[in-house]
Amino acid sequence: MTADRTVHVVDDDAAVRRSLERLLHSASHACVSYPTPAAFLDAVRELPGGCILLDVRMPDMDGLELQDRLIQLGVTLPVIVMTGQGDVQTAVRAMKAGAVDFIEKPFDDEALLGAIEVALARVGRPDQTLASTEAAQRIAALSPLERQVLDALVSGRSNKQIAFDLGLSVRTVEVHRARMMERLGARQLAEAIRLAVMAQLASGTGPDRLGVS
Amino acid sequence: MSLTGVRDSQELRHSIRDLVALSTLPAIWKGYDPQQIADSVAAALLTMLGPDVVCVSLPGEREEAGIEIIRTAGISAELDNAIRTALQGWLRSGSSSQSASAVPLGHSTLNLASAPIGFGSDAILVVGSRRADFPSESQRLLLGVAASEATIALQRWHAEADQRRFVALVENSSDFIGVAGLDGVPQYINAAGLRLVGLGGLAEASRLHVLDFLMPKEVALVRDELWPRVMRDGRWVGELEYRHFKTGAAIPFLVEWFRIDDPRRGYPLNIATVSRDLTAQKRAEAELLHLNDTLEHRVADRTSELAEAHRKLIREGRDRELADARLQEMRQELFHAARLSAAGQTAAALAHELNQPLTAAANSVAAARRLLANGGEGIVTALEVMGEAGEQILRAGNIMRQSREFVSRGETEKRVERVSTMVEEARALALKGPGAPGVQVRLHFEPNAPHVLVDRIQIQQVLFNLMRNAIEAMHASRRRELDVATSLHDERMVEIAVTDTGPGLDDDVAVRLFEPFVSTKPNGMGLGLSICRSIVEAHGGRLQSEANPGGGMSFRFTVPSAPHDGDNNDR
Ligand SMILES: Nc1ncnc2c1ncn2[C@@H]1O[C@H](COP(=O)(O)OP(=O)(O)OP(=O)(O)O)[C@@H](O)[C@H]1O
Ligand SMILES: [Mg+2]
Repeated sequence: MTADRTVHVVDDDAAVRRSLERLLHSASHACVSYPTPAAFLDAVRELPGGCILLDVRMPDMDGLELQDRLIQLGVTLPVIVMTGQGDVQTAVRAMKAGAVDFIEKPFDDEALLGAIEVALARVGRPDQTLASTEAAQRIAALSPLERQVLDALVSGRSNKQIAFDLGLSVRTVEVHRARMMERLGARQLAEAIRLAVMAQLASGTGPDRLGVS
Repeated sequence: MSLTGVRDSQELRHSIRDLVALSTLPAIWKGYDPQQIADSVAAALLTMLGPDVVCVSLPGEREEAGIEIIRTAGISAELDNAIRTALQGWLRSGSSSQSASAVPLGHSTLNLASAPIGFGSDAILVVGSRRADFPSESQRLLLGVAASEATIALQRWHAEADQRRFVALVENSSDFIGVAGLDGVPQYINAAGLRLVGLGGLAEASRLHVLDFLMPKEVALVRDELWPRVMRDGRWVGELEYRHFKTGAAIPFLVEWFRIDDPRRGYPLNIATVSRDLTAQKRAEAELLHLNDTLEHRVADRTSELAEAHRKLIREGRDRELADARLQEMRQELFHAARLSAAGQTAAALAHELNQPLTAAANSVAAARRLLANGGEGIVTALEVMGEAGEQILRAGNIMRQSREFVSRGETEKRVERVSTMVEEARALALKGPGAPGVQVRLHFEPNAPHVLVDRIQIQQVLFNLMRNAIEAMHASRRRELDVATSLHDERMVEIAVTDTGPGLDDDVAVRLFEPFVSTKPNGMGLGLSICRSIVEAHGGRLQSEANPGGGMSFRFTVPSAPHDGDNNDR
């Protein structure tokens, strides 16, 4: 089966759609964009492959709802979710809803293209068990405090809030956070969150565990 | 004394016999009380001197009643009476100081001879006779001797009475009273003392030593310190424990020891003690102490109960305060959050608004860079793409410009503001939130009320909240129309109405609509309307809700209209 490297862009903003087309074409990706989730859902049945680049924030139906729909429709194309800056909660929800990755707007082209490469490599391998198990192993290597910090971050709490919750200084939380990132081999918070969510999927614990629904 | 006048040896013999008799009287009188002594003297003189009357008058001394004995012998009752009367009259007349006198007695005279009894007292011994030769010299002598003997007897009796009283006092005292020799051997212990220490009698005591009366632990102290001190200073008072000879039990005593000295020569004779048994007192004290203790305990218990209750109250109070404070804090946080949520929603909306052109611009720039790097005909496309990027950056700038005023803070002063501008800005923001697409918005501005005097940011927050509520209420409605209309409420106030075509209020929300934390929305904090109301009221206006006849809700609020000069229609 030949890999279809088409990127399906769903975003309500015409300028963003256009710029993504420009960028993806310049990187030699096929690109089709849809102004609304509905438009995408209309077309999705005939899609041969590729990956989906989904804006999480859209008027009528947001990205998360669209993900649900896709799952219901049995669409297994990997989804990358575009979120607003620092919208950790939405990112976590997207990951739980089955997104392979999320990326914060505005983004670095390399980051986007890298994520797309990873996603496309996963086409036809919707089973995330392998990655999930590995994520679980990495998470298990964390100290209890680092784990607490990660969980808190995943549930969308700020350093300051975490410091208050755990009775630590903000400085200490920062130190633990940095060490946690280092141990997970994550350069960005998004990566750490992704690992956390994937580890959870592996352990089979429900989404409630993270306090985000 | 002279015996001149004694007529014969017979008389002399009588006199001597009488004297001897008189001299024996004191021995007889031993143990006699004054009454008995007086009787005895009177009887003796009647016998010896053969007078008509003998009188012994002893005025009362101290608490005793006076004694007056008048004895007659060998006379008629009538004469007895007369003599008594005469004699009493003479005694009262005060002439009794004279040793001899005569008082008239009917047709005759009663000759009296008297002698004082005692020293300087009014006591007197009187003998009277109708015989003219009375009193003879020997009679006088015998009278004098009798008076002397009576004096001595009475004095002795009084002295003995003192002693008897003293002895009675000591004997009846409930205190331990004892006298010991300087060698420490008891010489006298009163009945109470014997009883208190369990001794059978004085004989038993006299075989003991003072130190034997003490509890062993007290012995050294008494022997080495207290006894020498009493010998030296003459006195010691303190508490000591005596020993009960039968039971061995300790008996607490308040002990007073003192030295008794020979009154004339001054050397010490005895050591005496008056010791009070403190057992009862100690018990009472102990009881009192216990009572006090228990009382104190009870008081302490009660006090601690009260203190505990007080503490509890304080704690509860503090808990309540804390809870109140926490609630207050929470409210403030939420209030802040709500204010922020409007602002935060604004910011989020803005961020999203900005993110879109920025994302587009960044993508375009990245695409152009790649195209340029690849060279070839891509360069033309790159130019186009760069143009698109520029547009998006300008778009971002525009959004910033539009929004800046809305989010700017620190303006809390009321100013004259144009209603239409405020409403339009708020609408633009409200429509950026979710659920807005498909909502048809109609604005109507009353031309005669173009300006209001308000804090723009605050009133825009009200407008924003009301419009958001309206939009959110209509999310499932087929007809989704949002009307904002201004009108003249009166000369002073402008009314702004936000009307929707939603389902209207939930029944259980309707009654508490403006209360904080009342919300039917999953993510609603229920603060919007309560904030709106406080803002409106702070402007001197009112916020009211009413259901529309055709369905949906109307929220109307009033704000002060700004005095507008004429047809000044511009801002
Ligand atoms: N226009 C309306 N139509 C129907 N119900 C309304 C309307 N406006 C308010 N309500 C009801 O009143 C409740 C309270 O409104 P309010 O704006 O105070 O809080 P909220 O919208 O629920 O939360 P928040 O504004 O804090 O996000 C709402 O939850 C809703 O049930
Ligand atoms: Mg509200």
